[in-house]
Amino acid sequence: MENRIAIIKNGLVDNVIVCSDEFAEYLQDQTVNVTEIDCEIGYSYDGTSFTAPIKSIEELEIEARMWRDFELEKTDFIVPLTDFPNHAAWITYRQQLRDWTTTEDFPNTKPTAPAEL
Amino acid sequence: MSNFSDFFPVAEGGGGGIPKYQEFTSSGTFTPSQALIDAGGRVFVFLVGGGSSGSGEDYGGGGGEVLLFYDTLTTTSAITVTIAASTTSSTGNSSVWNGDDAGGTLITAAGGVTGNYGGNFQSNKLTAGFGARSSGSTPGGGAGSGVFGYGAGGSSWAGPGVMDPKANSGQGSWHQSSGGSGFARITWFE
Repeated sequence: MENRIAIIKNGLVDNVIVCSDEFAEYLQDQTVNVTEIDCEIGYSYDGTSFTAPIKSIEELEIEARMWRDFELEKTDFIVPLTDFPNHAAWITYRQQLRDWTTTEDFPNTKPTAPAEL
Repeated sequence: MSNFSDFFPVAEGGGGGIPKYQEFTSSGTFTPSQALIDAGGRVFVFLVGGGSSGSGEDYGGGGGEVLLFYDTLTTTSAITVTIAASTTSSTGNSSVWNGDDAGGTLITAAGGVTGNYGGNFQSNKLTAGFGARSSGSTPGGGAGSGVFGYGAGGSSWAGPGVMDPKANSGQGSWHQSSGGSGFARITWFE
């Protein structure tokens, strides 16, 4: 397993590099060995532990709309195939996707597809 | 019969001969020799950022940036070379050539970026492989091939690309694997 060293700048993980512990001490930036720790770029560091970045409501809504658009794109082919299994359920699902952004479930609770494609 | 030196004559005052090189699969330092500085200080750097991991089944990870460039060094001070670690994140880590430590240039090979629902992308990067995309069981596009395989894009469920990257390749991966770590090779004459 590679030895992973996080480079910390202003309390945030700026980069994670492959590095010996001895070389990490040579670097001028604050470094922490994260070989056994869940730590990626953008995580915050309080001097003891790492925390994944919290997304703003705007970021969550943008991602949710992108997911919704992608789901509609993935299921486009079902619409003209009237003998597709659970066709009516898929049409209902697509309508739920379109209505989702105006409901209280948006963006946290996604509509559920009738089955996996 | 022709000789190699007929086409690439040895420069006056130095140069020619067998190239020297140093490879980095882990971070370390490169210390220019006085002979290198006396010969003009020119080094050729091959620098690869880390790949990213795929996002869900439909998006392969992006390959790390692959840079090939010259730098001119003026002192024998040690240069720090940091090598990107592998990652399970959709953002790859960076590899950095701190050439400015010895009068050269600071250059970063950025980590790969995984596309997300709207199509894979590698914005403002040179020679990084984009990850594959698929829509359900339909391939939406294969991954980029990178440079000599370095920095190639990762596969999606139905889109061709790298599944499990080789170490120090900078390759992107599919979503259940880690993007490849970075790499650097410094070549010079003295």
